[in-house]
Amino acid sequence: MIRLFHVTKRYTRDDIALDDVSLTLDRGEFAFVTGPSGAGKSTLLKLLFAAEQPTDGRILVAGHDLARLRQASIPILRRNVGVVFQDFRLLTRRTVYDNVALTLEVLGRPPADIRRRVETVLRQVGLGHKTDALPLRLSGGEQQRVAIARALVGEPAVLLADEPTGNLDAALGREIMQLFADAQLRGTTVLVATHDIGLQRAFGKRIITLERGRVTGDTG
Amino acid sequence: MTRQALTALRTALRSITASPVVQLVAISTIAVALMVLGAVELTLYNLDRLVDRWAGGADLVAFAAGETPDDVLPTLADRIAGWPEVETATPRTRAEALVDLRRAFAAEPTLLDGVDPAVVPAVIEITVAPAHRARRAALIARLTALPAFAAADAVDDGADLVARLERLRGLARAAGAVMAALALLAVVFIISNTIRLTLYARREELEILRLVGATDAFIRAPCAIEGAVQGAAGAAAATLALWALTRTLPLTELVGAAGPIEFLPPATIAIGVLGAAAVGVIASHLATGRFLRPAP
Repeated sequence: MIRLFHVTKRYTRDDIALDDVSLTLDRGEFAFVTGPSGAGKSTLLKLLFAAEQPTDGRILVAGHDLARLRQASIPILRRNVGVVFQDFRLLTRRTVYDNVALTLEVLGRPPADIRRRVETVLRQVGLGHKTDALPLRLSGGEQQRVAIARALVGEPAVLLADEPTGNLDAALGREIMQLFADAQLRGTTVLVATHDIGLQRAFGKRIITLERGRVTGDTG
Repeated sequence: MTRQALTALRTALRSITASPVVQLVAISTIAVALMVLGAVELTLYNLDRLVDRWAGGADLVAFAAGETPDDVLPTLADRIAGWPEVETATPRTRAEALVDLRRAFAAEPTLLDGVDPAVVPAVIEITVAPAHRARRAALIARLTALPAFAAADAVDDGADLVARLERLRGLARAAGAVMAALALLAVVFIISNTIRLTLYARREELEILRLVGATDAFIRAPCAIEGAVQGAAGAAAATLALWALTRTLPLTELVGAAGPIEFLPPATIAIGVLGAAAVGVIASHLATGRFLRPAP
């Protein structure tokens, strides 16, 4: 589902974010990417949803060869890749329902389908009773659940999360991580960047370690 | 496709209603720019009508040669009136022509004092039959073939005046084209900047939309609708304001015999409003371009 072949990303001549990284995640696999700040975790995720282009190497995501992906085809890739960020990135003036429905509106789904699917996903993340709430009225954990619902509602093949529990306490972090584990059970390939060692151990999943842009450990 | 169009429409309406003051200012400024364009179009439209009216007018005046006796005129007029290209032919003797002249110079009654009626030529006023108005040259040729009207310039068809009007119309068109270009540039500038403001206010939403796989077209569509609405609303407001001005200002009295001033026909107004909407779409396209590249 995700394959990287000798991927290097340089921002400047001396600023190498990723250095000759090769790795594979199969369909339905769950892995953590860990490492200290500046190790290249966020850059790796950005490459996977085509927010950045690699300097060298080849990347395959959900059947798309990102090196050959034209600008106009990036939306097609992103409809197969759900992304969750540490800072939630919700529309604060739109309701929980509207935030989640946005993904399906972009896909041009019929309103009845959108309603059914959004309500299902919001129930899955435990927010079935807060569809009309505005994001700023919710707790941090609830806001992150909305972001996860938005990422999952389009049933993407791949789910990427960049420090999704960074703003949450340990208990909420585990709840959020359980939602990712549930997504994996439904067949989604999940890649979570985090340096929360407690969470990594608690979930017993594959751990890929990055240091200074290089893969220095992989339990997979 | 229809669903996405509805989504775009909903997003555009939300964007417009979210910042009513900005929209109102934009539409008012567009209306002012388009009023200039409308005033130029109104002037050209009425100038066209004037030129057409005078160039295609019915009347010719045939000046009889000096030696032509007055008593021959009625016979001559009857003969000319019998031609198929002539509707009426009315003789005016030298004395009657002088009376006409005095009437024309009523403001300067002493101007014609002492003028001998013998020096004023007798004339036949001719109304061209409607079916032959486009072939006035043939009628003039036929008239000048008559000995009474053989002299050069014996038939006055108003060609000099029409030529002057044509030149004036050409100048007005050139000036109008320049003003139209400036007005359109102003409209493009206003709309694209308003939409940039809107996009700036929506930048987080745009970022999220792109994250969840929105195409450029999906993002551009609401902006295009907003641009079209601004353009069309500005044009409609300009038309209304211009109409109110033409009704309020004493324009017909101002232009005198060249009047009356007529407002633009509905088809021209419709083209103007649709054209402004199209300009709005182009302006929105220019505005969205820089927000869509490169990918976040």
